[in-house]
Amino acid sequence: MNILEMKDITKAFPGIVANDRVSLTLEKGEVLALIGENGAGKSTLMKILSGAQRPDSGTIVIDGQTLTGYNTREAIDLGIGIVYQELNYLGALSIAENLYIGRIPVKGRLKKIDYPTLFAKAKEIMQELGLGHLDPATPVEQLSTAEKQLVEIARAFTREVKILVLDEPTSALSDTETEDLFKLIRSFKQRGVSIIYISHRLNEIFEVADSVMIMRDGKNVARRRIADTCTDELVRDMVGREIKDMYPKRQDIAIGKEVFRVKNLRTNFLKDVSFDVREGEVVGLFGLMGSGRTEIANCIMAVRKYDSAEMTVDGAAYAPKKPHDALDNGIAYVPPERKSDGITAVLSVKDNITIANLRKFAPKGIMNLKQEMALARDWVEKLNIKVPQILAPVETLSGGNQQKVVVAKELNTEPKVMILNEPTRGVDVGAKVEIYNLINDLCDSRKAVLMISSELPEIMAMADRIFVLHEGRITAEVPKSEFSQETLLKYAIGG
Amino acid sequence: MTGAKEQTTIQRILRKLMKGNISTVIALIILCLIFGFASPYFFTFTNIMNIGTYASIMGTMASGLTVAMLLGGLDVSQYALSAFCGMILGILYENGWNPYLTMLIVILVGAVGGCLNAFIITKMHVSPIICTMGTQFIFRGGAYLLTDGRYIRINDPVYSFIGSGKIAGIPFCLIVMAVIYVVIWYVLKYTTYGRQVFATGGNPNVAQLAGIDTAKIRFISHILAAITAALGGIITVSQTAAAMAKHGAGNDMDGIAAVILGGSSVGGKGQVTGTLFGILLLSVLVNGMTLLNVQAYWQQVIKGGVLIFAVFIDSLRGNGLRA
Repeated sequence: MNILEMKDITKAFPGIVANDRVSLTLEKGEVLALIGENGAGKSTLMKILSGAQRPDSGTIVIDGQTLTGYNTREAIDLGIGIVYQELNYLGALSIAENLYIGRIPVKGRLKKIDYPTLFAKAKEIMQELGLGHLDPATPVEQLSTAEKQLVEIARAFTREVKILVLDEPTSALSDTETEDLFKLIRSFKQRGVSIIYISHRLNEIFEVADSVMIMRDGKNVARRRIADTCTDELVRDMVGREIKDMYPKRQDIAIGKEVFRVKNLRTNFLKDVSFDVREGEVVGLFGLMGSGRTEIANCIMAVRKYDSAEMTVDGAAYAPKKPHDALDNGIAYVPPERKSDGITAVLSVKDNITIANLRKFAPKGIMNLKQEMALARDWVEKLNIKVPQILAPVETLSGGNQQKVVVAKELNTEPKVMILNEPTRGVDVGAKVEIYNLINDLCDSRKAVLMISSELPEIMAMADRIFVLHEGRITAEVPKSEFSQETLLKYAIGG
Repeated sequence: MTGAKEQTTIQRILRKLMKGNISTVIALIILCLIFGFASPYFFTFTNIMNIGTYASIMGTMASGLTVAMLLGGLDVSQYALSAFCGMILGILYENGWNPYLTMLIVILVGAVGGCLNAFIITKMHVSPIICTMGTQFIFRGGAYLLTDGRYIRINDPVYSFIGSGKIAGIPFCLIVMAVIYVVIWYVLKYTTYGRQVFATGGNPNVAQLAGIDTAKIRFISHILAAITAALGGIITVSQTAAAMAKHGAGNDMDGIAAVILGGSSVGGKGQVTGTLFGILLLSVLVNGMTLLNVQAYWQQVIKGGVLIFAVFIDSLRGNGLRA
């Protein structure tokens, strides 16, 4: 019997039909993967399910009851729990309070919070969900990302969920943490909870889902049983065309002279980090979370102070005081956190693309807006950025296109060295390939690329050499011929 | 099905109307119509110029404030600073200083006050609202201290021309305000500084990584807000022909209200032209209510109501009219 039936859901926003007669059914205890490129309409569909948005037409039946109010209260009462990719927690409050927020047990006429009961209840559910080692009184902000995520899932669980939606739950998790999450999902399944699992990582879907629904351009294109499908088929469904090569090959180009060198970079965490990048080369920087990857980039960009380092660009000493110096010396940086460090959401696509190099069309501080517009259009075209119009705020674009805007902004500074930190995080398959192609283009135009990534297959496919980082120290420089997951992981855990 | 479609078209039209500062413009038009019907005097040239004269002080000050607020900042010390600057003007006048030199000095004094705000905000990392709340007391107290609370009568052809002089029938102070708006509009739209203001207000992290000296941008904007406050002080003294330490007390929030009405309440979003409409709305409201003999105390109450209503419309805009 179906626990959820969404039928002919249609939802239009100005200029775009986000959901076009989408139907989705879910059986009791089923794990359904929902996949599709960014902007395919998955989020809208889930927002409608959660009551955050009202569909223009269509019906939703949950466990025999038809939704009428389309508000979050109703959805919660009917047993829908959603864990969003961007975690919503109250950092200063304890785990227990986060779990029971809104329904904290009280006692007495003054309705004082009944902490013993609260902590006991919380402990019980935490034990069930593999968080038993934590103290329910711990403030959530002190937890690791993975633990925070589990707290969110546990919260959905304190309210008798029938349907649990997980939106990209593993994007910030390590492999072992992902395994733990899968165990949790399987135990939910056994209790008869149905799960909608949104992810860009296809291998995960094969591991955990029973069936998969694919969305493209606001429509559902297919629904398949996991047992009867394969990665290639799913990718084709998602993109609408065949992707021959996930990691497009680079033309063989000779790697040239050294462009960028970091020698003995030291902070209180980083210990004598040294590496170099040459013309036309992609150098990978691989390490687990907390190994200091982003810290290195921040030092290079002068967003973070370092104790000492000898850095050179094209042989000339480079000692940046502020980010401006990095740009002046031909170093561009695509940061890992798109929302907080990459885009300015309220500004237009055009303004975002041109902001890092206004000098190009404003030699004396007065901007030539026509020239700027042409320049921005050029980038939009070159990078195939899909925009409703170039003056639309960047926040209206899908994740992949936002990322391309960030890349365009950095390319527009005409760098010699391009540092890409997790360039494909939260980006769909199609856009990923396009970004890889862009990286190849960078090499073709003889730029030096430093690629920081925690995705092994990606960094192994793209890099010519990989420096492995463990707890602030470079543990190995691995040439392409010796790339293997085992080797890289061994160095990454300090072996 | 058709019902649903009709509803969305209506929603779409409503949404379009709500975008930008259209709601403020509509409110302005409605108010003008109401006052026009209620008072035959409202639409006369003299009265319109009266509105302009009244608007010029608040408008001049709000122009600089808009820049600070586009950066996600705030300045509640403007009116106090303008009173302080007015007192400086009065003292120099009493001592027989040349009015042009005096005004230059007054503007410099304003700039120094702005530097103080900017320093506290960007170097001492105190939030703009707390910093300017503090300096507001300092400036106001300072204004009283300058003459021990005594006010100074001003009787000089230069100042009286600024306050009540006209060029081709248009009040000079209104022309001053218009020039300032054109300048700030141009700066925001065409200069790299202007673009950097929007970028910094929209997302300071990104702005910093893009090589923008965000502290410098903030610094300049607070000086700008202070200079427009000083100009506001000069116009106030000129209009009232007196330098008084209590000038503007109680109106401290007017400029902020106008900027919010104009749609620049979120960092990185808005325009100085919006502020202009905000100023007009508040000025027309006060003028019309005065014409209709609405008691001054009630005027305050109504002004507050209009502000909240406009922000409420703003929040409707933000949520795209979802029920």
